[in-house]
Amino acid sequence: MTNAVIVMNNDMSTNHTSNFIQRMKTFIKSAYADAPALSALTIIMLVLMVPKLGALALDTRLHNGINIWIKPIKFDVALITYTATLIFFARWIPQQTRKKTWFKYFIAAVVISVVYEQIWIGGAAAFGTSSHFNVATLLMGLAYTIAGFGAVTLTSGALVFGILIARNKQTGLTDPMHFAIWLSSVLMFVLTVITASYMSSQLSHFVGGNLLDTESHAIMGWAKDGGDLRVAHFFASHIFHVLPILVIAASHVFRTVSRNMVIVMAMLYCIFTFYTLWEATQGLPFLAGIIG
Amino acid sequence: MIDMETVFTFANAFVLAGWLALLLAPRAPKLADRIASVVIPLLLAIAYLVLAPVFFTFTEGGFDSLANVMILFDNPRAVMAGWLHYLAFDLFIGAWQVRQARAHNIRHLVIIPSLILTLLLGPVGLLAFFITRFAYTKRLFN
Amino acid sequence: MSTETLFAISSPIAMLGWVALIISPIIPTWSDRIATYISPGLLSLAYMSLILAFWSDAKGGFDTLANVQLLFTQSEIAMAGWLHYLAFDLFMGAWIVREARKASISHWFIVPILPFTLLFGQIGYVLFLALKSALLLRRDQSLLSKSNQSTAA
Repeated sequence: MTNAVIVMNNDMSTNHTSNFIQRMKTFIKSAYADAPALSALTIIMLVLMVPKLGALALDTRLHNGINIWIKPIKFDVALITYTATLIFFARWIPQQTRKKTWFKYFIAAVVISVVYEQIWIGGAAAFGTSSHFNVATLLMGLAYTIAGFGAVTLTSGALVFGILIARNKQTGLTDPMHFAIWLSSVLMFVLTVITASYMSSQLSHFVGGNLLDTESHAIMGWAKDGGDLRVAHFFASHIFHVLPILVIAASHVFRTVSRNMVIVMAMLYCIFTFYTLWEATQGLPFLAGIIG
Repeated sequence: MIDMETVFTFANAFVLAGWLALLLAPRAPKLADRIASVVIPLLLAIAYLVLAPVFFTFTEGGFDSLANVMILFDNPRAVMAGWLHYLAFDLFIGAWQVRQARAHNIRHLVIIPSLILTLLLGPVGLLAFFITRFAYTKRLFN
Repeated sequence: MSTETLFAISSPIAMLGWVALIISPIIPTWSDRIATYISPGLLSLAYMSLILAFWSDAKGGFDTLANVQLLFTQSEIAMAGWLHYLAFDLFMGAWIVREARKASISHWFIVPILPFTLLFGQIGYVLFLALKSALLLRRDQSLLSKSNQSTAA
């Protein structure tokens, strides 16, 4: 009797694990079907994040007062989130478009840009030096300039995806959701380029404060003792996550969600992003002007 | 007594010939594979056998802790034997990558980065090859 | 994390692979996955961590034996070198087991070769090559004599 129960339980647990593996396989297969190059890139980045986490545990070198591997790992998380989002959105681009040669070359440019940022940021950390704002040597200055072009190229992925989704009338999405997805993708590019290019025109992302990462928010790492231009960049690059989620939330609260409501939400979000940018330029920490 | 630095230089040049064969493998796949996975590792193993008795005669050091492994490497003969081990196995794994790439129809050009990484930083090259192969076959295991 | 801790963690990861190889007739698929991909993969990731963190400040290099020896005086780099052995010896062990299965060589012949591969990598490889050619040669000869008999009969 007891044996029978145990055997049954065992059977069930193996079923569960094989179900999970099966589901993961289907998940990866559908990702590959929608965006093969970006899927391969995302998996590679996930794998290569592991040795960086190992380096974080082993390395004692500091940069701006914190472990030198924090920055590469934060960029890993950000870039993996970004490419995963592109993979997720790719299903709403017509398959014929995705098969076109120009589209494949464009994706290749995005992939190469992401790989370049990874090597530049990880390599700088391995050699114990800065990546962004590092113009100390000719080589690092050149690497930073190339990284700037790379950053615009990789972000333009959102712009191109947004335009292609906008032109696709057969996404199967509800009209406000379709609108929110393409609008926020386009805005992601616009806001990110504005906030990032302002940041790169400065000598540091800190405005005032101790110019170190020691006085900072626990998770995000933004300065608490002065302005931090990374705040606005963060909100800019997440509009294409937030806006679709807001549409889902709104559809639960209101009976219908209209395009106008999406526009209002997008405008409020943009205003908030620009507010955080202004706040940082004034040397104020995140939300210091409101919360105090 | 042979100078270990001479053995070192000679062994390196010898192994580089094997790597060259692997880089040019598409020209003569069978020959390159024989050279890199049998001939050179075999000859390196003979050299290793000549040097390895140092492991049996050690009075200090061992394989049980990192500190003991480091004591073993105080002896140039032991380091030389250990180096031959790296040379042979890195090359063997390079040859394995070339064979695998052929079996999975992966273009030779694509695996050249992982071959170079295997030559320089063995395990990083193996990882690079696993990733490359996965990107091609979408399968983690063989 | 200290390098001695990493040493203590990496040994069981490698041993898991060796145990899987010893019992490979029972679990052929998974023993190969563990000993070719999972264990060497994990060890390689740890190796890469050490390289990322400590290579740029390391003294020494690959150009002379004296410089290689200098590398091994730094515990972090010595640890990376150790992981390199653990990963590649295990990989070789798994390859030997696979090859033996392909050539239908009894696992009993392979079991004594595995400890040599674990301790003195190359010796294990050479022993396997010798064993394989000897067995294949004998097989060829017995086939030859059989076919001779059949023609005689």
